Amino acid sequence: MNNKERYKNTFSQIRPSDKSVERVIDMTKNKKSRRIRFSPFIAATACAAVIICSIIGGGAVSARINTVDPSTVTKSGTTGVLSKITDANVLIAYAGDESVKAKPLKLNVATPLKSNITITDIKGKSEKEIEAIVEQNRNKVEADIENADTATWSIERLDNILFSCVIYDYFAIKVDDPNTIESIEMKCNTDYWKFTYQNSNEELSKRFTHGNDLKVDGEELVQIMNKYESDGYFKVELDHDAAFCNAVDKNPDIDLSTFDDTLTFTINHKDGTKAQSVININYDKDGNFSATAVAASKS
Amino acid sequence: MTESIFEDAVNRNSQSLFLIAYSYTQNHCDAEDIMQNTFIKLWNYKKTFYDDEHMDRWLMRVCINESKDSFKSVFRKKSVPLDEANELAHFDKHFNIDLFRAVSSLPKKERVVIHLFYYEDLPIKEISELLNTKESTVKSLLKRSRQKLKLMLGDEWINE
Repeated sequence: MNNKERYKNTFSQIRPSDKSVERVIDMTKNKKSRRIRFSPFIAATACAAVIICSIIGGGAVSARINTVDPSTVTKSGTTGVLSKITDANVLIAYAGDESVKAKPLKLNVATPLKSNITITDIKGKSEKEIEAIVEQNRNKVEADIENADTATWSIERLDNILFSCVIYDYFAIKVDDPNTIESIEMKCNTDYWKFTYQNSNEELSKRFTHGNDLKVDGEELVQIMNKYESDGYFKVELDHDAAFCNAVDKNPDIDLSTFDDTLTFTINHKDGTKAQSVININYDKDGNFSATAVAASKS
Repeated sequence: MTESIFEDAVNRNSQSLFLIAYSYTQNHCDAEDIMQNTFIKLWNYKKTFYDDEHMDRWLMRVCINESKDSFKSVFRKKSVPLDEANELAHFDKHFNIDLFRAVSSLPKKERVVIHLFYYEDLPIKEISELLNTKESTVKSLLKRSRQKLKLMLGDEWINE
């Protein structure tokens, strides 16, 4: 028996479960959800940079097109690139921590939100050229996240712009004991933003929950914490919602302060107490993203 | 994409994609997740493929990208420790536990190259394209991992 035969005989016996394959087949029965989740996270900064780029380029950003296939790329082509790195420390509510009475609590300093954005003007470029830019951006993203502990990324195509975005880290709500929690609420004040978290649903097309006004009940929280690596945190990503892109579509010169928002995280305990933290997100005039805790309370 | 084309693709590629993901993660749950995510992308894919081979290569490429990304994901399933005694009960006599352990002990990049070469029968040029790396790098990884396997497996691994 040669090496190949020996290798194949051994590894062909390591198989995916029938259930996991069946779940994939079952997905075809639910044709409603067809959005590619090319990235679980599109950063606030990404959208800001899109606006900046469109202003610089003088072109309007119009209807959003679906994401780009990562494999249909070639290895040539150059383009103008605007890169920007921003970061922001954010604060969140800590369940069961007495100190929230007096002052806001700082998020684990190991997890500041940070983003790395590349914006590319694709006006007048052929499909082949655009695919080459995607490949170029993909390589850049891979290099960027090489040494990161956690990162999510996206490459999205609009009519005039391709933007790639890397987001390092996420919101992490400390949960000492999920069994003591009635619910966790997360709310954006505007329609421009939404939260995303991985839920306990086994159906593939419903694996993520998105929304700008979400409530996770205690039972599901326990399931999520048991199912995924949590380190005692409930993890949530921030994403821009469709309204954001629609606004940019209508007016590429839009004032960035339009997208300022206030995020509210509330933990309702079964004993009737609640802990809350309020975070403002906004851009400065250069499009840098920041998130600042403005209030925290416990009652 | 029709349901029947999709199902054919799943039946044709699930084992292959799972093993590619497994060669990266060495975790059954994560490998299944990656395989599923890869098929989700196929289901949502808008363009058409020239033929099955074109589709299968596309899936492989997406699976490799998914596998790389999985290491940075915020949402990772909890690992279930391998119950080796229980797992072994399901394998037949051709399963070589020494080879399995030896390959598992290789660094990630070497494991993946070894897998694509020995399981998928891919030539070095195609491996380099899939991994987006130079042919010389693939050759070097292959050479290094073969030497290690020979050292660990002795006569069970034939010099090439």
